[in-house]
Amino acid sequence: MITVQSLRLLLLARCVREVLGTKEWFPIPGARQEIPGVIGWGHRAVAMLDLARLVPDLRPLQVGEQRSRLLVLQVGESRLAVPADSVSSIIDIDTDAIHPRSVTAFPYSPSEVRIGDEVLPLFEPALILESAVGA
Amino acid sequence: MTVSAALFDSTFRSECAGAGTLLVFDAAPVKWSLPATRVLSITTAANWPHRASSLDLLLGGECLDQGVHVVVLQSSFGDCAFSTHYILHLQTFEPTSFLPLPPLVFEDSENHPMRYVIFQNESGPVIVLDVDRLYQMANIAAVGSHPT
Repeated sequence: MITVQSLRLLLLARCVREVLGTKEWFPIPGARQEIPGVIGWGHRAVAMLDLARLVPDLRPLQVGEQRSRLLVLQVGESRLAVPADSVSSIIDIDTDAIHPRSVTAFPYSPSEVRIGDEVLPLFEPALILESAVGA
Repeated sequence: MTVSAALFDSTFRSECAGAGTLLVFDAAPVKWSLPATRVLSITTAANWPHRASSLDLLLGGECLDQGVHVVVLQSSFGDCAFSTHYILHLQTFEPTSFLPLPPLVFEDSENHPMRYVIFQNESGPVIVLDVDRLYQMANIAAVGSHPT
């Protein structure tokens, strides 16, 4: 589970290549609104997704600002860097607990998971890629 | 090496020989650059070359605004020029340091003039521009025009 301000999301652990601490990112003028810049990682330039730009009322990352964790995700052949305020330890979830989205509103999560009293969106970063290709 | 019109003839050509040599614009926090082999001349604003189209754009409205230097470029589609007030310098990079910008970053990555990024440890990243794409994307004014 990852958090960005008040947003709490689940993410399949197999997508995660690495979890880093704070890491500098660099703005790219003219970049997509939700992907404002890149980071250098493993001798690559990796696109940085700011989840706060996908949810109304969250405060986007400003130039020079970082979050305390940076996830590097493997999305198909691509990599995506996602800054987060926190990353929890891995949670085992029964696949029966995954349901089509009905309560949550995060745009890139067609499914959601009930954990105790809370329902959390299951983020599928591949949908970001698909929407970008289709744009 | 800082580049000026005065230095161009005597030094610039020899400095441009390496394929990894870039003409870099110091525009903090991001630096822009162009392959030096595509630079035909650097002159002053008073000597805008008649043969060159004006690259009137771009890059966040930051890079190519009018200034003391006029940089004339050779694209595959014709000569073009822009003026800038940023300090220009030449810098050579290892070929392996040119990292492709991920296609996800731009709406139209196939035609976008920003092609590579070079991360430097202390002085910030350098974005490498493609001269042909720059020409095609730019708002090309009439040939021989001068920015007003």
